[in-house]
Amino acid sequence: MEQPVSTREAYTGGNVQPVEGRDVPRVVAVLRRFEATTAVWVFVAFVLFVLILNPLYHLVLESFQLTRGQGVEWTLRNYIKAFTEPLYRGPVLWTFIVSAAVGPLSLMVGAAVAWCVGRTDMPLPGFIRTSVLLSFVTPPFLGAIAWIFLAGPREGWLNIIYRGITGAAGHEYLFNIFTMPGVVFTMALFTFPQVFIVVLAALNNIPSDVEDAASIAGGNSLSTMVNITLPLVLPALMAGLLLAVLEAMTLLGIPAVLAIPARQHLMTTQIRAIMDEGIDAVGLAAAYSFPILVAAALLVWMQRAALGRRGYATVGGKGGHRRPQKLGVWRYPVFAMCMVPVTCAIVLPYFALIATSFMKNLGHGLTWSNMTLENYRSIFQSRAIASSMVNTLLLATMAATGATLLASVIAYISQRQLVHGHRHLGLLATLPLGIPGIVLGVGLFAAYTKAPFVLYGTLWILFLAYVTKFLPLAYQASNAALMSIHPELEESGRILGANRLTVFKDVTVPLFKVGLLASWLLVFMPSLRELSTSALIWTIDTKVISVVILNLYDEARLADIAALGVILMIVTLAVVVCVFRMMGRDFMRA
Amino acid sequence: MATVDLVGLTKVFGGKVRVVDRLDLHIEHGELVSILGPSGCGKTTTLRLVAGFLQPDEGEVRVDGKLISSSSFSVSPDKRNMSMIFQSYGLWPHKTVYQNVAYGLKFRDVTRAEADRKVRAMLEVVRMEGLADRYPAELSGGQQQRVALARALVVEPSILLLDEPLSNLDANLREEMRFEIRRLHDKFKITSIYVTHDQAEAMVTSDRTVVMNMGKVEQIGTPREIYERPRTRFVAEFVGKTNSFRGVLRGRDQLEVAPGIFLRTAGDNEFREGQCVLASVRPHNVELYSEGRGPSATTGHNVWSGRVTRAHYFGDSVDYLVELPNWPQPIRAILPPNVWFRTGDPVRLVIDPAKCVLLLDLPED
Repeated sequence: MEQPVSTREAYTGGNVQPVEGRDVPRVVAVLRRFEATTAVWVFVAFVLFVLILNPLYHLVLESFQLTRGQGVEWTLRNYIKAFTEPLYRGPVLWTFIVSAAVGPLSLMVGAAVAWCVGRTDMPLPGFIRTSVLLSFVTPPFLGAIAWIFLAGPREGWLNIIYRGITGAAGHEYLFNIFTMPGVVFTMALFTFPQVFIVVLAALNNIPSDVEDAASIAGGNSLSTMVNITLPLVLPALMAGLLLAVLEAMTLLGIPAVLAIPARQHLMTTQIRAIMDEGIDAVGLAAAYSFPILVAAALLVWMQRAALGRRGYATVGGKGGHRRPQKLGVWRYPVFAMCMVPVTCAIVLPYFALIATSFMKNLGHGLTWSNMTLENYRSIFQSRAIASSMVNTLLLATMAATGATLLASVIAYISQRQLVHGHRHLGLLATLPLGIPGIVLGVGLFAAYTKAPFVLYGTLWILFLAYVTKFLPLAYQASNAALMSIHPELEESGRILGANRLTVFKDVTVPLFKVGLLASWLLVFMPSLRELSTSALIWTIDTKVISVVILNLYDEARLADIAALGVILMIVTLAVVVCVFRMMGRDFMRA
Repeated sequence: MATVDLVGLTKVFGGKVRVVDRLDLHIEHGELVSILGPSGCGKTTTLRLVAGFLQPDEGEVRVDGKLISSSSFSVSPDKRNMSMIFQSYGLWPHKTVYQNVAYGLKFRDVTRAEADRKVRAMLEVVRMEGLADRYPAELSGGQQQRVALARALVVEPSILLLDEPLSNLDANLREEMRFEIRRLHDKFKITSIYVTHDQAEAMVTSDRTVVMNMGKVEQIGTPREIYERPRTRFVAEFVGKTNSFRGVLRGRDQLEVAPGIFLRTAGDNEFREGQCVLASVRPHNVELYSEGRGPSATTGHNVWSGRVTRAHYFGDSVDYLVELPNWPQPIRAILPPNVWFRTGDPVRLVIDPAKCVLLLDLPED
C-alpha cells in the first residue's frame, strides 16, 4: 500500500499472466472482456427475433392488406369480413362453447385422478400415473380417429355391441362421436393429462405435516382438505383449467376429424378452410386468427399469474414424507373410477387402433378371417407415405437439435446473467407458448411465401415452425437442468486457473448432458406428431406423417391410418425408451 | 505468499444497497484473517471481490501492492493464483477425487509425473489417500470437505479464500474440521481469508478477526481482543453472550446504571465524565457466591446481594439469571457446575471491574 502503483498496472507476480498492458485504453479493455459473450447474445437475440417476431409481424401486416392486381391495398376489410359474415361467426361461438365445456370437464377428471394417485392408498397408483402420461404422448387426432372406430354411429364397436345386446335396428346407435358432445368428450380425454400433471406436482409438494397440523388442531378430513389442501393446490387447479381451455381452443386435429363430419367448423378448422382458398385469402385468415391469438396470450399470462409466486418451489416444505388418505372399503371402487378415463383415453383407443390396423373390412369385426397384414404393406409400398416418414424423422431430429442448442445457450446466458437484458431473452424464448400452432402456421405462410425469404415448399419452413413452437419446452428443460448445476461448480474451476471456455467444456457441458438430452426428447416427441402448424404450410414434397394421416382421413382410408398410427406410436415409444435408457446409464456414472 | 490490501472497497447492488461499504483491511504474509458477521453483512461479497467473481464499484484490491481489482480494471479469477473453498464445496460430481484434486495442476507448469506426486502427497496430507478413485457422491460431508481442501491447496496458491467452509457439516464434524483447517494453515502458511458467521470457527482458526455488520467493519483485532475488549455494542453482542448496561459515566470508571447505583468498570480514556456509555460484562465473568462468602466490597470489586430467578443446567456449565434490587435489568451469569444454586436462592454477585468494558452508546437501529 505504501509504494505508489499505477492503477493501470497489471498483476504479474508468480505464474500469473498479464491481462492488460499499461497502454491499452479502457474501451478496448472493456470490449475485449465482453466481446465473445456479447457477440453470442446479439446473435441469439437476432435468431429469436426472426423466429418469433417475423411471423407475427407478417400476420399483422397481411391482416390489413388486400391484393389488388399488382398492388397492395391497406384496408380493414379483412376484419370486417371475418367478424360480420354469419359463415365465420358460427365457429367463433362454437369454439367458445367447446372450450368452456372442455376446461371444467378436464379439470374435474384430471384433478380427481391426481388426488387419488397422489394422496390416497388406492391400489396401483403408479400404473394409473404411467397410463395418464401415456395418453399425453398420444396424438389427439389419432385418438379421435380411434374413437370413430369405437363410437361411430354405424360401424362403431360400442354401437355394434349395443345393437347386439338390445336387438335394435341397424340404423340405431347409442353413441355418436360425430357430434359436439363427442368433440368435447374426445378433447377432454386428451387435455385432462395436462391438469393431472400440474395438480399432481402441486399435491406432491405439500408435506403431510401441513395437513397433520390441521388435523391435530381439531379439523376432520373434510375440513383439512377444504381449508388447507385446497387453497394450496388452488393455483395449480387454476393453471390446469386454463391450460385445458387453451388446448381445446387451439386444437386442430380433433375438430378436423370429428366436427367437420358434424357439419360445424371450429375456428381452427375454419382458418384451415380459408387458407385452402389460396394465397389471396391469407389476409382474411390472419384477421380471423386474432381472437385466438389474443385469447391464447391472455390464458398463458393468467396461467403464469396463477402459479406465479406461489409456484411449485414455494409450496414445498420438506416435500418428502406424505401419509396417504385411507380409503378403506372404497379403495377398489376409487381405483375403478380412475380406470374410467384411463380406459377411454388409452385402453379402448389403442385396442381399436391396433385391431383395426390388422382388419380387412372394418364392419366385419374381430374374426380370424377378417385379419390381414395388407394395411401395413400398402403403407410401406406407398412412396408418398414413405417419404413423409423420412421427412418427419428428419424434421424432428433437426428441430430437436436446433431448439435444444438455441434454448441451452439462452438458458445459460439468462441464468448466469452474462449480459444486461438476459431476462428479456428468457421471456422471448417462452413467448411461443402464447402463439397457437394454427396462428403460427398463418404467420409463417405470410412471412415465407414472398421474396426475399421464400421458404414455402421446402422443409425449412417446417423446421422453423417446429423450432419456434417447441422452443419453450426446450428452454424450460434446459433452464431446469442448468439450475441444478451450482454456479460454485464453475467458479471453483475458474479460481483454479481455467478460463470461462475451459470451464464450460470441462464442467458445464458434462453436467448439462442429461438435461440437454431431456430437452432434445421434449422437442423430438411432439415434432413427430405436430399437426396444427404443419397443416397450413405443407406441400406435396414436404408432407409429414400427421398431414398424411389427415389426408388419408379425407379419403376415408381408415385402416391405413390405423396401421400408420401404430407405427408412429411404436417409433415414439422406442425413442422414449432409448433415451431414458441412455439417461439412466449416464446418471449411474455421474 | 502474499499480502492483501483492501482499500476503500465498495460494492453496490441494485444501484443503492451498499453491500460492502468502504472497507479497509491489510493482511500480512501468511496470516489467516477471518471475516465474521451475520448473514447479509457483506462478508461473502467481500470474498468474491477478492476472488474476482465480482468487480468493486469503488476502491481497490491489491496483492503484494499490485492492483488486481478496481472499478475500471479486474484481473480475471483464473489469473489470480488464488484458491477458494466454497460453501457447497463445489466438487465436480463427474470427476473422481483424484481428478478433482488434479484439475488445477493442468493450468500450472508441472509435468505429469510431478502432478501425480503432488496430488498423492496432498491426498495424504488430508488423509484421503485411500479414496482417490471415489466419486464425490460416494463420500461423507467431512470427506468432501477434505477433498475440497486438497484441491485448493495442491496448486500452492498465494492466497486461500474460504467461504463458510464448514456450514454444511454437522456440529461434531465442524468442530473437528476447525482444528484441521488451522493445522493445514500452520503447515502451509498460506495467506488466507476465512468468511464465517460462527464465532467459534473464527476464534479457533484465525490470527485476526474482522467483525462486519451491514457492509462496514465494526472491529478488527485478535480473537482475544475481539472477545475481551469489544469496541461496539454490536461486537459485544454478536461475539459471545453479554450483559450490556446503559448508564452515565461518573468519575473515570464509575457508571451510574440507575439513580444511586454504580457499577465500577475498567474505565476508558476515550470517554468523558457525564457521557452516556454502555458497559459490557460477559456472563462468564460474573461470579456468584452463597451469602457471607466470597470477596467483600472493600477489595474494589463490584459486590451486590440478589436472588436467582432462573437456573439452567447445561452439563458443563449452569446458566443463571440473577435479580438485584433496584437494578434496571437482571444479570446473566454462567458458572461451572460445581456450585449449584436453585431458583429463589439468595446469592452474592461479584464482578471484577477489569472485566467491565465500556462501549460507545449508539442509538439502536
